[in-house]
Amino acid sequence: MIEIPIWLLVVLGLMIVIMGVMLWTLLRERDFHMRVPDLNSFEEALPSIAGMTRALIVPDNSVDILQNGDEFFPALLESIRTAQETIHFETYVWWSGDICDEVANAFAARAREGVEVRIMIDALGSQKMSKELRQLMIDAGCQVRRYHPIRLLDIGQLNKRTHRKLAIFDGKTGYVFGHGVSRLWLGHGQDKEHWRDTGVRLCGPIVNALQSVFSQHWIEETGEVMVGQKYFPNVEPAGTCRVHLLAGAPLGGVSDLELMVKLAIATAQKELIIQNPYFIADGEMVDLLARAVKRGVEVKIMVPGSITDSPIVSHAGHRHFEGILNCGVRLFLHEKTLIHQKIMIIDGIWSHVGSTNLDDRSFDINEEAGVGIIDEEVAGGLKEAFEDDLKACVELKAKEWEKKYTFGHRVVDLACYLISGQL
Amino acid sequence: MALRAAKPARPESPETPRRKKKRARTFEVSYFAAGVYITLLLILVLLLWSARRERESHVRVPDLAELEQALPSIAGLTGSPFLPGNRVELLQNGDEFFPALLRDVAAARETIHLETYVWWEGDVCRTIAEALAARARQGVEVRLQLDALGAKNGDKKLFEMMEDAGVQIARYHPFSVADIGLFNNRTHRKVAVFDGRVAYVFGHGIAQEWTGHAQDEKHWRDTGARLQGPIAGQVQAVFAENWLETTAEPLVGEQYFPALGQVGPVRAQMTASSPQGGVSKLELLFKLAIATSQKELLIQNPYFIPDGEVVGLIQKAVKRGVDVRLMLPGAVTDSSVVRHAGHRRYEDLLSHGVKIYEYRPTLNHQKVLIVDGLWAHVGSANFDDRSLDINDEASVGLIDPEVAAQLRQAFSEDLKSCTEVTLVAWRKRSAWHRLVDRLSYLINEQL
Repeated sequence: MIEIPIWLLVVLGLMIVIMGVMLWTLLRERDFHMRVPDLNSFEEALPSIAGMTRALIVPDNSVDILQNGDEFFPALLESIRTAQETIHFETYVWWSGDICDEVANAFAARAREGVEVRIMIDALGSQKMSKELRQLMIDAGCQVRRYHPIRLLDIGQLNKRTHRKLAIFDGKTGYVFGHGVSRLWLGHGQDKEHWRDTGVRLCGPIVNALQSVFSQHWIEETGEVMVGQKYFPNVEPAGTCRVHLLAGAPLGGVSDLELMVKLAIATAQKELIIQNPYFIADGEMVDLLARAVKRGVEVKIMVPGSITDSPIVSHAGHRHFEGILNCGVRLFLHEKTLIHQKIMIIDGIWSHVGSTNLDDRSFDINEEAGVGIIDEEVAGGLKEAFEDDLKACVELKAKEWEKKYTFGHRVVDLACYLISGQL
Repeated sequence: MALRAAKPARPESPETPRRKKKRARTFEVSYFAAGVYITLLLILVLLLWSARRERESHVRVPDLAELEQALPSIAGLTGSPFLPGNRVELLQNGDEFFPALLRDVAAARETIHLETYVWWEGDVCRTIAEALAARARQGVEVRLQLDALGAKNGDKKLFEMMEDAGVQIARYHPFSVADIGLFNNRTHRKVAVFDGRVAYVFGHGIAQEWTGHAQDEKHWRDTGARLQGPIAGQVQAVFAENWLETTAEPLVGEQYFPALGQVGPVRAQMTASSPQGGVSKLELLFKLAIATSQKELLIQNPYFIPDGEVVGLIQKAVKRGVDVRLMLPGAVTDSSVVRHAGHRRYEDLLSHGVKIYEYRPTLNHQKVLIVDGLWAHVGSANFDDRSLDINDEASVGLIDPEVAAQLRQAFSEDLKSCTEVTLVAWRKRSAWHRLVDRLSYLINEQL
């Protein structure tokens, strides 16, 4: 037994309380109820959107849409094989399967031929990565780094992951995508074991911005500052698309990506299409959607039906189904496979492809990356794919949902919603 | 925790009343409980430290090639692209800065945005407050973003007067228990934007000290820039970022972000940093600027505490043949601890051929950097850890021989009022001076 005076006890207790509060204020998500106004025209709003999200709109780019693994992986592997000086790759998921060997071997082969290969993988997302594969790449000369390694010193950063999916070749060709390196992303979305996803290949000046986003985590983890034309070349115009790159900055300020998504909804005048695997609307999102419908916008949202890798997120998303359906949004549940792509299409002009889920983890915690593309042809291509996906969907009607939405269901959904901030 | 009120050890034993009273005010705590407490405390310390620590401050900046070649890399790494087509006017001291600012306040038609750290006291506060209030009464949207700490001594009546007139005032990181973890992060940015078309980036505070023309200790030296063209949109974006954070109001519309055409010859970049998101962009920018210099590097800064890497980069620059000149405060400073902390590096710099000048007449508060007479930065960022890692800062980069020449001219003018610090004289400084320097450096991070 140690005898201590009361005042010391009080001081010691207060110390714990103060530190607890400090920690909470540092790590908690700040709840923002933004007042996003309705906007009159997309073109007029563009400088504001670019300014508010700090993402310059860069003209003169080419954009190729890459659907599912069948189109994405061959294109990626081809770019790896033909890169001359630098290969940069950042991803969250690196699990297992033959595709992992194939990608790793392709990286290793180029590194052996003297190409600088830098790979940034999230320490949590790549826990299942095989050690031999990693060693094979390192032995070949690839620089492989893990983002926010899971160790005691970084315990306060544990929750903050990189969910970005980027690849940049010679600073001239870039990829932004939703795919993970795993056999689940192979194929063409034909069944539960082959997921649906979408990426884009970009050429033109926007690739400098992609490299800029890649360099953030690379500097943070390695301290290496990449300077020179092989990283940031003067990129020639390559096409006619205007593109802006959005990269989420979590904690503290407001997430650029959340703002982008909300501003985009507020600008829609005719049609708004959303496809997302994890859709947990907050009150403001529901309000924005309702206002869009009232303006006469046709709003269609596609989310996973029974096939999902995260039932809790699905349940949390159900919380706002009622509100969304009642305001006149058309909701489609995909039943063939997990639709993992994060797509938005507005008025057939602007579209978004990237890594951002429509939930708090993507908006407020993770590091994300996505591109906004201003081009009718690209929007048309994505819309065609959406319509194709519709064939595997069941439309959820308000009345039907009312019947399904029993008390028990509500309780489960509420419970899931309450913890959804971290999912 | 296992606690229980201590019973008197031997209640039957005779003890003086005084002793008894003292006993009743103590608790007995088991070793187990104490162990649990200490463990909990350690976990909290670790969590707090790891959530806040600078994850990586050792960046390895290579020597850069010629500036034009390095520009895309510098823009990419600092996330601040160079936009062509801007017009720039430099504003020296309060005498040039405040009249220009007030003219633009009077001329604005739709929106007036001002963000500052310092709002202290003096006639100038009243003049600006009244100008803002007058415009608000006429229906102009006026937004004033103040730092809760920097403006805590401002005249409350003035703030009330402005709010009554319709000025929207937001305070950055106010003192609330719910935000105690953010208390140390201040906004040190100084920007103003009018109708989204005319922007200012400056070092001045709104206080009597910044009026005049640096004529004496009570009138400080400072530099700002008035900007027109596409860069104004970037300055607005920096203002909008903190405004959104403090008020949740996104600024969307042509009155905030109009389409901006090219109006002048200057390429400009806006570099803003905040403590979130890894390595500080301004720290990286300053390091890249030093590394890219080929002929001449001029730095004027009131708080100069470089880390080892900056010293290394400067030494390398001198070795490349770069003429490196630093102008720092002399005896007139508002923070002698910072000044002394900076002294720690004097020897390393002087012995490698860096020229150090101490400004005599008043505090030189301007944050100016000029590379090779071509690329200049003007803004709010001091050359110390608080500015580079903790605060929100804003600095504008300008590429134009004419603008750089004007800033060089001002540097030469200031030089006339400086004393050069020589290595010989420096080595003769007293033991007491050395001790103060050392102690100051130890605590410099938080200053």
